[in-house]
Amino acid sequence: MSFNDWLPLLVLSTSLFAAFIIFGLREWQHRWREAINLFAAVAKIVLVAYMGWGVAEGIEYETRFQLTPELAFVLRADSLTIAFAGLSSLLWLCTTIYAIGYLEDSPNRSRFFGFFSFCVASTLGVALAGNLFTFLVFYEILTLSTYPLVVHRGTEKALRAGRTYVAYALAGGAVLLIAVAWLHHLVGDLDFIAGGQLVNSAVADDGALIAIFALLIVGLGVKAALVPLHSWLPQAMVAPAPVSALLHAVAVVKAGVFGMVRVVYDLYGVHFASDLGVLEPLAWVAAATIIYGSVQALLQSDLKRRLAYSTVSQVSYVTLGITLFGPLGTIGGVVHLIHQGLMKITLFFCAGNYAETLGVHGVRALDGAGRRMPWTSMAFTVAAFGMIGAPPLAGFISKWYLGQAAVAADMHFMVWVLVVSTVLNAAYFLPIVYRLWFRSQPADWPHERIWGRHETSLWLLLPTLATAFFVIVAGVFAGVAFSPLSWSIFMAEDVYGL
Amino acid sequence: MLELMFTLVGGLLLMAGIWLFLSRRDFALRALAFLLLTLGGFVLLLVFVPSDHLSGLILLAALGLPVSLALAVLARFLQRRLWQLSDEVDPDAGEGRHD
Amino acid sequence: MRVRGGMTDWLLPLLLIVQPLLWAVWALSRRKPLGGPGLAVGVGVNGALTLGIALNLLAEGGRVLLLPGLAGDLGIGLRLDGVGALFVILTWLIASCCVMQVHWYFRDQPLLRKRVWHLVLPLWSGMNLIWLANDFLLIYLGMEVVAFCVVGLIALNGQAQPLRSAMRYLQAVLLGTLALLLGAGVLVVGHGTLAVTVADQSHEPGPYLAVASALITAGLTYRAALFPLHTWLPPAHGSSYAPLSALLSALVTKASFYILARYWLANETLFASELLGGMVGVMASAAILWGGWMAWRQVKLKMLVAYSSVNQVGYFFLMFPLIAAATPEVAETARNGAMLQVISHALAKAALFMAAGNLVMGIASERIDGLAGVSRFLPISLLSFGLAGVSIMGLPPSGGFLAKWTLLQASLGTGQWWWALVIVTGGFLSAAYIFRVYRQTYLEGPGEHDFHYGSLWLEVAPMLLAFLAVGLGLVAGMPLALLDVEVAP
Repeated sequence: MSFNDWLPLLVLSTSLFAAFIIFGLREWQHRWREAINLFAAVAKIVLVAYMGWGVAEGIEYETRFQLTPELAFVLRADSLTIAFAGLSSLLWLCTTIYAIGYLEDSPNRSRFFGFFSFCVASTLGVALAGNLFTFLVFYEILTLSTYPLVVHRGTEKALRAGRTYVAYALAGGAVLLIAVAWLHHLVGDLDFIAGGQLVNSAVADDGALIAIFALLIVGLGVKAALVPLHSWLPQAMVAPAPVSALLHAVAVVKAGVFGMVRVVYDLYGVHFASDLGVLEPLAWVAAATIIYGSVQALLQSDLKRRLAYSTVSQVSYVTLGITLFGPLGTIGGVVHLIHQGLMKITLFFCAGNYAETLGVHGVRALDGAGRRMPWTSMAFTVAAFGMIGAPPLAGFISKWYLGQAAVAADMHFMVWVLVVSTVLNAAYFLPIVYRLWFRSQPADWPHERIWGRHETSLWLLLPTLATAFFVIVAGVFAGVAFSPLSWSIFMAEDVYGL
Repeated sequence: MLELMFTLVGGLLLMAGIWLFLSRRDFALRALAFLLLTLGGFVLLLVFVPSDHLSGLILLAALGLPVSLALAVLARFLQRRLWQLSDEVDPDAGEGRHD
Repeated sequence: MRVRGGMTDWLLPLLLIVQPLLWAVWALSRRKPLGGPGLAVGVGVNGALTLGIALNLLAEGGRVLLLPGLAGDLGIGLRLDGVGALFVILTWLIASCCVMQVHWYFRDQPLLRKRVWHLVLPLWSGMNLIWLANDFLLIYLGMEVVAFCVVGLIALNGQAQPLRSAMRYLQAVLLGTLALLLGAGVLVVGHGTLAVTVADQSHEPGPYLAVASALITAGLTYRAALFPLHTWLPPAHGSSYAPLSALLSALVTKASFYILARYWLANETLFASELLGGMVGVMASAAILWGGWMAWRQVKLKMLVAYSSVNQVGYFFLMFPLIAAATPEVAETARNGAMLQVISHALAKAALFMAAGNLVMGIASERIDGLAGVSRFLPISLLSFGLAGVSIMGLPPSGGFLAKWTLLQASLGTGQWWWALVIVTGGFLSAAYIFRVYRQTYLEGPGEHDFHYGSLWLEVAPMLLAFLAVGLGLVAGMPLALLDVEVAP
């Protein structure tokens, strides 16, 4: 096997080995732990970038391993993989730095960072999965590796949230298992191939394929927080901020929606799915989720819970994108996958900064925080405007493409959904921005910590600024090669054969 | 004539075993009941066995009956040990031991 | 059937069966209990013999070795094929780990240790005899040797409560044995053979075969602890010493299933009764659901693991409804699924019991809620428990997952999709009780000095077995290939 055949496995292994080593480290060996974490994160980015370059050139990377004569374990890198893997590795580096600062002096850090690395390995496994079975394997491993992170604090509330999360995630996994087993029974082992293969299979029973599609969406929808399967997400906010950032921007939620993209484009094929008539119901579910999430976000007074519901809503933009038949929808959906990741992680980093530095958790307590923590608040403002969709930030690009796609697909109602959702986004973000900058701060912050000259620890501040910077760059330089937008266009060309 | 005798003996053994099993809670006696049932079963089988299959049945019985006996002895041994232990704990407890 | 009686053919299997007995005799002859080197030599010799048999099998294919003369006509002898070899290898793996674990666990109790060797080694012998036997006579002999040893192991320390558990086990043995013996008797009366493969399969099943099968199935089901005949198992396994419970739950319970599987698989054409298969399936489903529910409700850690055995046994027995009236390919899938489940369960359950034993020793309490705070101080045992739990839950990439997948494929293949629902629900229940333990360990609890730290060597065996269980899903090709080595008709 050549190097190209080993590369996908190697990319996975960087964080897997990091995880094993970190588990073995003692609590006090924090320099080693930091060094290994950062080294593995950087190595991963380098490898993914290398793979990305190769994929753009048309090189194939595939690790294939027969488990049994009927079942193959396949890791493959294609354009969609690079989109997700690139996002994961970049944000993993930022979150690692953030987590090192956030968890300073708290107990059980080796355990935390061990499972942290394990979680990223599983996420990359999801990105690299070359067939449905491998996807299922990593999807379930992701559940296992994120549970310890959610319950890390060990409080009753954390344990309860963990129980809810696992119950939902395992139930979703069980539904997914049935769907995948059923599909295997009907057509055998199918790789993910651009354009999908099911249309060529000998299965005459459309009803079975539609049922399987529904089951797949339910199974994936739990992690992707589609209404009504979303309840675990706000409860999981009790986890430390780096975990919330990871779950919402990078790993769990994205894995669910990534799976949906794979199912529609690389398993069923978008033309076949459209013919079967499954795309329209999904579009409606996505629309309902978008509106419901935004409305619920308005009603939350806790900052992280507001962001959680905002995630429920925003991730369904991606789902909406894939159901709007046509290249514009694909571009809009996939690019939003990346953009939402960048914006949401910035917001969660800011929320974590406010909580750690000022002891502030509620939206109403943020008055005047802009004066006390200007850089963090600036990052928050940038990301918030991005979410609303203000040009020239990243969010605007995605919404523009989605709107065009809705028009092109003759689903004008969806344009209204996008408009209403934008209005709601403004309704729950703008007041926060207003409070940050235009209200005066209270006499005493609930629990202030001083970090020398800077407004907060540099470990916490720099990643926040970095991701905010990416939000700006992704929007302003969207036309440049290798930007998220260009990559999405490249991917759409693959899917539609343009 | 022989067959009738065997059937009768086998049936009696079986009934004795079942009665012993149902009427006694003592573990060692129940083990004895099993032994009787085993013996009765084999005797009944003797009635039905064709002559060319007889050797197999005898071989099986030659192994099975001693082993069942050994198991019954083991049961008795365990029972006595348990009584000894409960005697050490409470020397006055003696009810329900002897039937 | 390639029947050969040459000396060379008999040598390896005979040595394999007899070696642990010789080892036990050596242990008996010494005043002090066997030490590390003595054990290592025994394990090594057994391993070499096991490897020899496996290689020989791969080279020359499966065959049956019959005793000369009258005994041979009755089918008495040894059967060498893939399934038997697989179980011999599994036994070597798990028994060796248990031997190591027992050695370190009873470090300070030489008297108990001595007693253990006198029981565990003949047990090993008996198990090998069961795996390699071709006929009910030798199977019966093996089963009873095992039964005697197990009674001794359960009641090892002679206290009242283990004695009672041992008595309950013995009662199950007596009943099961009675049924098995009489069933074999009916078989020899009706068909003149004691072999597990009833020779003339071309005839329709007569009354003798039906009665024999009913008796044999009933007896073995009782000893395998399938619901509702499972009540003897939780007290027996839950109250023994942890390394011994590992051996009991992981290997001994498999023996009854193995025999039953052999009997049914060998005589497939005679048993294609969907009704009978369905009945077994219902019992198996009840075992999965009831066992899982009871495990979730337990207060003591080892009892939870014991009920988990009741729960997992159900999965093995799902093989029977799936092979009744199925096409040959689907039947093979069902068999593969059940065997994979057996192997991964054996590995995972042994790891689970050993790790549980370490944890219980560490927190000096049997209760699950005593586990608070353990994740910081006993991480290795906890990790072993966690990994083994992954296989029990049937999550990837473990052997349990691949087994579940294979059984699902078989269920869909026969069109009996309702078993698929049972399997998936069972997975959920398993997750409930395993996560109950995980959850406790994340709670913050007492500090460093409240834990008892045992020898580090005690952590090796459970970790090894847990890794094997979790990694089995990735390397399942090898055991499955071995399964396919069969005796040519």
